[in-house]
Amino acid sequence: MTSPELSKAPESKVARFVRFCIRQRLAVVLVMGVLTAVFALLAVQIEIKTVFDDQLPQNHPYIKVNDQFKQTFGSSNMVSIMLEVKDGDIFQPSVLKKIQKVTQELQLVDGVNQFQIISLAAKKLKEIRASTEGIDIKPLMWPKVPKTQGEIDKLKDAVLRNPLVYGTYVSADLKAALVTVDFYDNEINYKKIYDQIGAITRSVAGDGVTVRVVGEPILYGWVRHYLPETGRIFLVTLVALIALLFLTARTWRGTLLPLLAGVVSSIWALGAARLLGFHLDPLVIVVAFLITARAISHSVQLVTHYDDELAAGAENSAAAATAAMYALFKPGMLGVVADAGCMIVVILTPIPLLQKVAMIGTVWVLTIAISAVVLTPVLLSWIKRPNQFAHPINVRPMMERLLGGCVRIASTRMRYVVVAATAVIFVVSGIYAFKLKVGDANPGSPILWGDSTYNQDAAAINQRFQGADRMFVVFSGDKTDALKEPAALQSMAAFQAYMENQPGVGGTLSMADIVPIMNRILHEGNPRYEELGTSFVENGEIMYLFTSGTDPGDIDRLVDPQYKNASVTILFRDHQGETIRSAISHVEDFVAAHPDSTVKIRLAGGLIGVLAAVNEIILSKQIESIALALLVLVLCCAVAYRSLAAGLFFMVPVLLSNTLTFSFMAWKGIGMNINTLPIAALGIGLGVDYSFYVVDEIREELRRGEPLFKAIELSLMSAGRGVLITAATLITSVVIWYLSSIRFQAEMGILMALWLFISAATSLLVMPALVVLLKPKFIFESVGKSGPSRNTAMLQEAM
Amino acid sequence: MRRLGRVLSSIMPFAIIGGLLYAGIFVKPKATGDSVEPPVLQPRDAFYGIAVPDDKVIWAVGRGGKVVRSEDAGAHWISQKTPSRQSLQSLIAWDARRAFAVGNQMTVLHTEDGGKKWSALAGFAQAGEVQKLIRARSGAGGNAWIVGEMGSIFATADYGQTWVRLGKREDLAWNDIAAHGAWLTVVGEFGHIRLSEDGGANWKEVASPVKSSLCAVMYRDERNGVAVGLEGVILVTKDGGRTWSKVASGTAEHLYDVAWTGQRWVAVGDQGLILTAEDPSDAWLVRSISERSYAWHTGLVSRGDRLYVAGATLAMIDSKNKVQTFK
Repeated sequence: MTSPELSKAPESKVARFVRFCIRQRLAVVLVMGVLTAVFALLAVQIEIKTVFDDQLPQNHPYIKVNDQFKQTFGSSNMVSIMLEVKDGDIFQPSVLKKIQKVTQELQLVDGVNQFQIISLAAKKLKEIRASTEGIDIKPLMWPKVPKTQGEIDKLKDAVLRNPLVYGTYVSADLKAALVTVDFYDNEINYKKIYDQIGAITRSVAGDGVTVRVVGEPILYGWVRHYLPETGRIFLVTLVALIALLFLTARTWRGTLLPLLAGVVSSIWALGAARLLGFHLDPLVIVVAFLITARAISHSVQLVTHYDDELAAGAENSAAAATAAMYALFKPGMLGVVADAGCMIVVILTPIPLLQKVAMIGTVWVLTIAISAVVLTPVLLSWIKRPNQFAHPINVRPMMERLLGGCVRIASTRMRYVVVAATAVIFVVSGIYAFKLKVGDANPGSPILWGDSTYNQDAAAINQRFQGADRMFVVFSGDKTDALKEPAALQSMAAFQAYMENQPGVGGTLSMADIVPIMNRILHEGNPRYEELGTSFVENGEIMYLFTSGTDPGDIDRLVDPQYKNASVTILFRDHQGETIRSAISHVEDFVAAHPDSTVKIRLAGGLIGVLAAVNEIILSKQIESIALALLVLVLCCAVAYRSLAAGLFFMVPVLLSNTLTFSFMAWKGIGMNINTLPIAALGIGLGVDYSFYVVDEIREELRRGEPLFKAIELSLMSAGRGVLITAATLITSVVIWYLSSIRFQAEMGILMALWLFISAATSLLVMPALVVLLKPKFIFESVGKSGPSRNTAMLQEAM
Repeated sequence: MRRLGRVLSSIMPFAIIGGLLYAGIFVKPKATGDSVEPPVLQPRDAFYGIAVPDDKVIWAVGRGGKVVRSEDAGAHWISQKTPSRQSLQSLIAWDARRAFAVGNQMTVLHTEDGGKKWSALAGFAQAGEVQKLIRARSGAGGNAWIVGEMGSIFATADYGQTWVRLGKREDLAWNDIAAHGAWLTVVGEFGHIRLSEDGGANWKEVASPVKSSLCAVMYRDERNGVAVGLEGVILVTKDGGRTWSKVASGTAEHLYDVAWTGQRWVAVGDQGLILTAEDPSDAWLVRSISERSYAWHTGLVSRGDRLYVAGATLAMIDSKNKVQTFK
């Protein structure tokens, strides 16, 4: 299909552009220097923080319910603090005082919702007693902590009698007390919360009391806490990268130019992000590194090709740089555009965080077109004495032996073995990949290691209490006071009983728990009357009596003042994807089994509710974005090579790296969640860059009239060498991430290493074998038609 | 052939992408875990009444109309279907097949086949009667009695085929009834005690030493009986119920049921307490049924050398005070 006439037009345009860049190199460098300086000024102002709201798909019905009710029914920001005694029980003056201290001091934490601080020492937890004068409702342990043994015994007795406290705010074995606190979404500052709550807990820990804290704000506080360490690891990685590049390339240009490409890209991207008003999530740093790795890879390709041009007899640096830039312009731009295209499709996932990552990522990838594809050759053209090495250690023979092996595989029957093995690996990993879990795959937070303080605290709290992760569902009536109807309350009670039987659910709480208790108290404490009222009026009276003894707003966490919307809070012991999905499906089962219910059950708020929404979005969108990314890839290849078959051909490395990555994630128990999704999405495009370089060079060599195996050898020794250098150095560097205290970063480091390895292996082993085996038309078509010999002919044309 | 290959290689990419897009748009994550069949006995359950018609069969009724039965001394339980969702307060069983359950809103259920089919007793309540029936007790022959709110007292002499109303309608709840021969004793709200010496035709108010509600009454023989009630009240009679005196119970917690085992008196109530005494006028021994259990119990049955309790938990206590809580 490709005719020389047609392909000539764009080529000469590229040639003109290349010539222009090299000729006006001073101007090009100056302009880029100024721009980089401007972007650098912007980039240093970028804020590093986590905004939880950004992680939520705002149009999802669950999120809407959460937003409507989170202020009273409990948001996903809830923090649980557990005070645990070693000896005896919590009913000791010193321990009770500590509970009071925590409760009081939480009032002063930034962004705290003061109406949602609940503990034994809070005014909200009441003792309700029937007395001769009527109902007596007073705070359990507010404002004063009991001093005498008699008073303490009374308190203990009151706690044991109160099912809203015993088991929920005081553990069943009386050895631990819980304080829960909620925060206003718009005022939340994870660092301040983490620091201030940390100070409070440290001040009460000791004397046989252990304090444990969990909750999303604390989790992100921990991530923030490790930020300096993240920075240090980043630095060590960078140093290792420089050292390894220097060792393998043996030249300063081979070391500094790729690094410069990475740095310039980062500066431009971060500056652009600041211009767009974005902030940087600490967990997204991994994505940043991944893109930087792309920039470095592209730049190394250019330096390698430049070296080869020199070795092949280019007159001077400028000529070699021009030739390298010209030769690699197409595969380089193809790689950049394909990567950017794969990144931009993530924008379709309706989660703001991912959309921002997609936008920054796309800009970032596109800057590679300038920082590597243009800047590297332009700077190379200045190199004075290009044939000197900076150190005597020569790893090149070793690399050439390795690459020679690759060439032998492609040119002998071994290629069948390779292709067959690839097919087997593809099928097996493709099947295994279905084990990938959406949502978190393990209890505790997957962001931190299992033995981290946070995850140990979470485990301890979930063991002592009914569960620290909450979900609320809303029972909505159609009119004011609808929830005083016996049928509505019975429906809530039945729902609670049903949910409590499901695995993973530790307990439930609603106003349907209060009415029977109040009813019993009104009947002299006789348990035969521990039941819902038989009429609307009776339930109304019971609730009136209850609220009359409390402060306005005290009952808001259970029902709104109009008695139109009430919450049922469900406590979970973990927030694994599986737990959440089955919980949601159980709620739906219940709704389906009660079609004639007078009240509507609306899903879902609290941490579990919003995670359910996020997980639902992620699974479907992940497959969708893989599909769209592949489409982008096919279109890019089709345009670049004017062949749809080219699209199919380059799908091989992409699909392979995806199935292998998903298998790895499934094997290591890494769930597909909000944090791993952008990396997986970026990885789609990642698998293919190396193959572009290798295959494109095979094609070019064939066009120059080289025989097939010679073309493969030339390509692997040049482009393949670049692949080997970048893959080896980057893999070794990212493995350092494994030392991170943040498990997420450690695992992503391994994942990245895996990706780099797979894409390098496919481009060096599988793609040449496939070229020989399939003889794709788009590679062989132009053979013999246009054949300027290497370097000189093209250069003459270009200069 | 080559054409076909070309066409295929052109279509393939779009087929793959189309397939993935289809999956992305239409495949939704499904929960793998099915809903768990809820256990018969659940933490939220409350059982107000219990009957143990033979050594193997344990039968209990409770909140929300729940009826459960075990036929292997508590190892396995099944939940029985009934036509009512009203809470059931009490259960009597003449044998393993014939039983009556009573409860809220004048509910009376009966079965003839061990509970495979429960049916509501029709025509029991008069129009407008919605009171709670609190306690049923069975006697020798086909005799049985039911007491409840609004002065309800009912009696049958033919295993529940026909019932007669003994009490007059009044705003007073009777919590329990005890029979020995033609003598009937009812106890109820505000410490009220009434005695009938003629099978319920005539009643007379007995002077009560307390003003708090009495919840249960039991006789060990024609003369000696014990009544228990709220705030740790224990009353003792030695003359068949004509005079009652208050004895020290050793607790201020509510007591809901009392039973005579053949050797000693036992009472249960709030906060997981169990009280025992050989002579009810002597000091009662107060202890917890099991450590760290603060569950209340309203039902107490003695059979053989075992005690069975029903309430916030269902449990069996053997002669060595070993407790088996049914789950």
